[in-house]
Amino acid sequence: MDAILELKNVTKIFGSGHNVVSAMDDISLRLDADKPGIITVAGESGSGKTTMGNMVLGFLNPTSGKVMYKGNDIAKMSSKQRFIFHKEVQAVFQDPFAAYNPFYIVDRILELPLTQYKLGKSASEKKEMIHNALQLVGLRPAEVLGRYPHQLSGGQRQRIVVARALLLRPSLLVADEPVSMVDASLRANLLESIRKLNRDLRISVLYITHDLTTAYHISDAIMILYRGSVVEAGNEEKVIKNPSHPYTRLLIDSIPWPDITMQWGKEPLIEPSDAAMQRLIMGGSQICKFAPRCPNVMEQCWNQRPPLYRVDPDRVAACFLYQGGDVMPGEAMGDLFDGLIA
Amino acid sequence: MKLKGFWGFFGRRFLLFILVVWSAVTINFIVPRLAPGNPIRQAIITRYGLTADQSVVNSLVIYYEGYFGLNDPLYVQYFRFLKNTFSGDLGFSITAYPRYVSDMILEKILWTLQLVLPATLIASVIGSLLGAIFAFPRIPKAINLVVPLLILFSAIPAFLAAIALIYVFAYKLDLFPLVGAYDPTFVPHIIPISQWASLPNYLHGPTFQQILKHSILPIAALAVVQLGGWALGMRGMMVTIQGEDYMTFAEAKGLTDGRMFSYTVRNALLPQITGFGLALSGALMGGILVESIFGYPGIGGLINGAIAAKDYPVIYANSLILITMLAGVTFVLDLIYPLIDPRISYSEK
Amino acid sequence: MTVQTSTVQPSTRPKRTRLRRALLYFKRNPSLGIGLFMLIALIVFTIVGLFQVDPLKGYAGAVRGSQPPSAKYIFGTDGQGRDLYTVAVLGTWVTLEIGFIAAAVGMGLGVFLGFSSAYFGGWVDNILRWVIDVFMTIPGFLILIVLAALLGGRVSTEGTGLIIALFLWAGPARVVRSQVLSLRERQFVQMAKLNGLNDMRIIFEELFPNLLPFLGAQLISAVMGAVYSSAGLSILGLGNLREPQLGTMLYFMTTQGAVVRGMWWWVAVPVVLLCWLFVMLYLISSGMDELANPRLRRRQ
Ligand SMILES: Nc1ncnc2c1ncn2[C@@H]1O[C@H](COP(=O)(O)OP(=O)(O)OP(=O)(O)O)[C@@H](O)[C@H]1O
Ligand SMILES: [Mg+2]
Repeated sequence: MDAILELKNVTKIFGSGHNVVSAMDDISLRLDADKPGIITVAGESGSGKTTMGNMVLGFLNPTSGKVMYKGNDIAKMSSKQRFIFHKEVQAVFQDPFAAYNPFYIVDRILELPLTQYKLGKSASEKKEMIHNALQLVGLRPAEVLGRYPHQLSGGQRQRIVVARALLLRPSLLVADEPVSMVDASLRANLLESIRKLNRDLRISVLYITHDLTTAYHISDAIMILYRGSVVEAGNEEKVIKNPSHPYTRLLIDSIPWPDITMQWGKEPLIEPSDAAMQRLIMGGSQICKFAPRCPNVMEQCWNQRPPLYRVDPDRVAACFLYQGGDVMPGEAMGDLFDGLIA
Repeated sequence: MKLKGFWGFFGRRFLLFILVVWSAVTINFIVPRLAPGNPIRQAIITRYGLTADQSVVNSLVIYYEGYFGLNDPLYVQYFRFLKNTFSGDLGFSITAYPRYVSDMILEKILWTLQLVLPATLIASVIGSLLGAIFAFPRIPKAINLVVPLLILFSAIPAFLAAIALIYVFAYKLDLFPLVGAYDPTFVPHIIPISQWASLPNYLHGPTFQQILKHSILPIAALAVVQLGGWALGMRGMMVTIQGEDYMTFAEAKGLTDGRMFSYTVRNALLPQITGFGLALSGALMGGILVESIFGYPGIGGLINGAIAAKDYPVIYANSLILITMLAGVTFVLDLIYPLIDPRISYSEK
Repeated sequence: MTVQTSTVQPSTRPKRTRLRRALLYFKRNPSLGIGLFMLIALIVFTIVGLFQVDPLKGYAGAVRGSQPPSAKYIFGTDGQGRDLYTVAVLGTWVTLEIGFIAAAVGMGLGVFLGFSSAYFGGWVDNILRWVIDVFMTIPGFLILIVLAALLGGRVSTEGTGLIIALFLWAGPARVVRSQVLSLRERQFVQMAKLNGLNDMRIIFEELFPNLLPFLGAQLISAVMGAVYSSAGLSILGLGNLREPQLGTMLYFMTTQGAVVRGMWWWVAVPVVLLCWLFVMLYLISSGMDELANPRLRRRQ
């Protein structure tokens, strides 16, 4: 049971003084090397998803806790270990323009890693690898190669980044909202490519999104974040079809599902009062962060942080509504997901 | 909460002001000590050494030895220098002994301000006006041809413009006097500060006309090179504002072109104020050189004479006073700008 | 006409030559085009001139003084017996040389300090920001006068350049700092890490190229500032008064009454050439600014 990625009680705090934001608050997670799966991390804007992705990619160090890749703490890696780590952990970013250096033609992000990581033996082999990867994401190499990023469409640019992931065959891919800035017709194509990466190339994927419709069906397990804390996690089907945490309900409810039999917008939206926000700030990590907006709020929620209660064998929710159920320690999140990945 | 963050802002700006003045003083302390020997003593001796009145030489040398105290440890010299400077004692002039350097500068600076301030004011008004016109949506294309011309002028330093103006308007066309600030027969008397209330009395009659006639070309030289900067700044600001949401909104509400235009002008004019300190600084530097070319008796003339006569105390004090003055102007403009422009607050900066 | 071009398939259209692409770009960015044209014209003037002039004739007393332009002295001679054609050919480049020495040293310092400020952050950044602010507020020319007055006329061309450089670095440092700070946050830097580049290569291969047009524009405006300062010092009699520089010409021309003596050629040569230099540098610098930051591009 070798963990490819393990987050141990990771907390990330930004800012200081009056402006502290805990973007990640005591989060644990584990992905196993021999069972590559797709795990979705979802939540509204500002819930700490990108922070989590950046931490997994080694761009940020945790304030406390550890992020480990194959048993090595990423923050403490030697430059040689880090080099190998970057070779094996790749990313697809949200903004398909920002990922390119405007000074270079797009070929650079395909060729440079092949050279750096010594993939492909000859120039012609590299070229062939690149062409194959581009064709797999539905691009004609002649149409995109040799061009500057601003000469391509957003969809083309994003597909090149996905092709790059195909090319490098990492062990872990962090996909931070890969489809949120491309039009709907391309989304299916890109998501399909990511699924292919997982099924055919056996790559573990951390799929980050604020849009649960794109998470549906592609992932094996899901984790919902609110203000840096896990509110609900587990079986994707159960979480989406039958949400148990009031925040998840709100999140699912606000989706305009294409299925007309599903209603949306029936959950009451609570505008938190200034006093409630003040209590939230005073409470820090010691209360339920969703309390100011929660339709089911109880006095207890203001005094104590809800632990993860087992709602189903394969799903937990951090909400006192499920008091009395089994409490799952946060560290056991890895085992929960382990059981979900086939 | 207009004043939110005022004290923090004030503190940072004031610290900057103090640091600038302190740097200038310190540089003026260090520079003379970089040279081998004592340049001031050298200058005194070369000037008076072989001619008569050894008592002047001696008293100057003794005075300056005391003033600099070159035998004391460096830090003692430094603190004495700081103390003297901040109490306003900038020493005696070598060539005009026993006149105080600070007196000489205060007397000359009026002549300089008399060129620099009108030039900057005129340029800012005309330049901003031109800039506003350029940004007006329905202007004749021909007016746009003026833009490159203004840009060319803004690249050229004032001293070159001054030479060209002298050659054409003073020499060829003989419309203006070639040099000076007044006719050679006129002896200017300096108005003591206590009598400035009577200043208006001087603003008519032959004296005033004389002075005006002499200052038109230097003012023109200093103004014409600034026009482009003001106009481009204004046009840029106008274009930015025209693109903003509230303008689109106003247009949608059906405001007339004229109303829209005056709206925009008013909003674009305020940020131009921030350019004033910089423009004044540029005009003052340009003014020193323009005065040299016109033989004008302001600060530039003073510096020029001091350089020729190696009158170091005058040169040092000039740089110190001008730097302090400009830093002060920048400081004050920075402080009042957020007060007059409702879009800017102290805490944002 | 337009129909013809638009019906041609993009793939079969012959590739535009570099020259035509450049010309098309200059049409969009006339500042750069005209500025570079002025530079080429200056270079041609100098090369042709170098075949014709004797450098020694650029010094005082080398030829008969106060001669109007003629076949023998096509730009005339000044009151001290310099051949103005020689001064024009050589002096322009001496003037630019001071500018480039000052600008290169100042820029080097500015880029280094700006990068350091942005890269190290923390207290290094805090201190450097204050120093930059102070240097930006002090009108450097006033300190230059003090320094140059102390050194008298004993400063060499290189020396003048170095002194001027002391007050040229703060602007570039500030620009580089803010550019690096904003570039560093860009995602392509993260992508570069994923591509296996180390910090040094990220700075030089990813950040630096993006700064080039900025640095170019900054360099040229620094040259402009330096030429201004050196000409200004010369007018005050603080330059090197022996070498045939344009600023030195201005000094002698004004102190020796070229205007009242009606010697228009003596006035015209330094004034026209300096104007040429300033306009040329200004156009190139604002053209490069536009190149660096096309968002400034006017939408018309
Ligand atoms: N570098 C930073 N400095 C300070 N605060 C930060 C920084 N990065 C993120 N934050 C804060 O951390 C919180 C989480 O940000 P994060 O970018 O992870 O959100 P997100 O879930 O990715 O949101 P989105 O869906 O909008 O991308 C936010 O409140 C944000 O303001
Ligand atoms: Mg994000």
